[in-house]
Amino acid sequence: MTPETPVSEPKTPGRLYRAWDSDLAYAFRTAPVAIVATVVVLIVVVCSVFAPLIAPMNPYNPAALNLMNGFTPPMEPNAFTGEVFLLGTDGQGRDMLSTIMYGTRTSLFVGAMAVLFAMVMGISIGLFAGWRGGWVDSALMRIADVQLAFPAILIALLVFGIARGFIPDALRDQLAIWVLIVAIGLSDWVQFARVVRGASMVEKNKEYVQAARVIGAHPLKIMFRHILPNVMGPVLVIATISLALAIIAEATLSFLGVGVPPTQPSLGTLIRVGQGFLISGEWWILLFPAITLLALALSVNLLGDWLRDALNPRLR
Amino acid sequence: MPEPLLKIEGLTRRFDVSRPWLNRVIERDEKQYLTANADVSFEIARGETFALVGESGSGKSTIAKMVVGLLPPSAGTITFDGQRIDAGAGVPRSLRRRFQMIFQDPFASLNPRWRVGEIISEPIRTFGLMNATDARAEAARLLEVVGLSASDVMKYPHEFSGGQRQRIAIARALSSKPEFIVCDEPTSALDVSVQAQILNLMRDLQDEFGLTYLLISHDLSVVRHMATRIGVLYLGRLVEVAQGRRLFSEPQHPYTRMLLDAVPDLALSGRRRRPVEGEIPNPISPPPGCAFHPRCPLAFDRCRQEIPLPRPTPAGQAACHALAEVAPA
Repeated sequence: MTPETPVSEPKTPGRLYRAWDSDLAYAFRTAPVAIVATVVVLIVVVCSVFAPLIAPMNPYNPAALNLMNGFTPPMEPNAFTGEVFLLGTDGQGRDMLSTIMYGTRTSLFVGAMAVLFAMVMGISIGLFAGWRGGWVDSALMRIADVQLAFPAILIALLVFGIARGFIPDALRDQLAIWVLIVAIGLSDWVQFARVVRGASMVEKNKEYVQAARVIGAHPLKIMFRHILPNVMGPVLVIATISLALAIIAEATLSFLGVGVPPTQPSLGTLIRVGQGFLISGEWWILLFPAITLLALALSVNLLGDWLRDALNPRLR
Repeated sequence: MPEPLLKIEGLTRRFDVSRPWLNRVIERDEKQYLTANADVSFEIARGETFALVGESGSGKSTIAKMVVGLLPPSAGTITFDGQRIDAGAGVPRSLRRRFQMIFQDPFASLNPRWRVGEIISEPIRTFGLMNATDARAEAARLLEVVGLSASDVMKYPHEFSGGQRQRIAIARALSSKPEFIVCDEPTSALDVSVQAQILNLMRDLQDEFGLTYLLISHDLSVVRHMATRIGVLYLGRLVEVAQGRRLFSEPQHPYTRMLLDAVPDLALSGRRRRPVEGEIPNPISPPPGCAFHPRCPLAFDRCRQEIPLPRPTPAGQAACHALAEVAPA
């Protein structure tokens, strides 16, 4: 038995070292799938975020386009101009690599914002339902159940259709991207709300919450400062997996033609445009955006799966 | 007895344990209530340690929770330093600062995501007693008061052992400079070797800061070590209250005797050891009359019909018909 009073350590190790030394970091270093997925996600994210700086051309600047470059196959010199494009060009002579970089930018932005929206909404509702309990909880969770019974895409389409009726024509293209974010976010908050509600019902009966109640701490403070940090683990896992789903949902909606406007094409729009050229032999216009979408969604999903396993102490 | 710091009168708590409304309507069930505490009255004088003992389910922790305002009482009043807290009314903020609670499980009572300094200074910040810089310095000082190191403020709770965590919980309880601390089984989650250290720390702090304790415990040796007066609970009712030593030397109520007989340490009671007979009855449908009569060796007819009232005994009071028959008060 060591004495109760500890000898104070000379210095506590730095934050960075502790992060490197943590269980999560160790689990990460020993999981090749997670490392590969992270690398893929990082490449895609960096390429899209810095697209204006590193893309070979701005595909949406009409002055930079040369119609003579249209339908250039990948890695082959164009028959008229002799220019070479890594991933080829589309019918209007846009460089596919640049188009994909800009398209991923839109996809990632919509996906991330939609998840953020769903997270904020779901966490708030879940915390409130878990804290209050009783009929408030029952009512909120029945609403969640009803929404869960509808496919997410259907809800997104519904929100999109309603928004279209409200927004004046002039603003439609500007606001389309935000409508899309709200539509995807609204179809996704239920998962966050359910998980946060369940976890906070467990947490709220723990003694540290009672200790805060004894001193009369404000319920909002208890919810957000005490309970929320302790339920963030599962929330992060869902957020990661939701990001992959949101990117796919955005692509689906854009593919169906209800997503982002053609002036700001996303990966989904590119795939929709590209599939028209598949039969006529210009396969690269479809294939490369599709591969990018697949790689991004798969990597984010694998990361989410890994995170779920790594944060679950019972699986260790 | 001088004006008590805490006075509890007729404190009762019922829990609604009915089945859901739909089931009740369809199956014609009645509403069901569990009476955790019935008509509990006692007083605690300034500076003393009043202990509540009893088996699991006797309602010890429910009393503790009602006293600190975590649970509203169904009936009865709590008077703290002359201020009445009525059933149904919340605890006023001015009173909240003056009492604190130490919890049973030091692994659950400290928020694992907070640094120790934040945990200890939370009451200070909530009551707005000091500015942020002073609160941080106070947290460091309190850590030294409870025998830890001031540099521990930057650490997280998982870096400490159970005994050390309980010291942190005590430091948090002290930070709002309370006069009265409710200790709900403060040592039952700790190793035996650490228990005595924590109890001695609590006694030292009591002397230093003039604290008054309400100690909840099922461990008679802890109670004997700490308490100036002891109340024995059985099925939510106070069956006996006595001065600390005299409860052990001359227990009055048959239930108290049964508890003491069950203590494994022979030197403690000097009696022949006997296991506690029977189990605590279901509190949803307690036995009529004295709740203890099905297990009581002295039970007679009156015990099955009439709830006994507390009567004075040489060292306190006890609620038992058999005692009244032998020596009518």
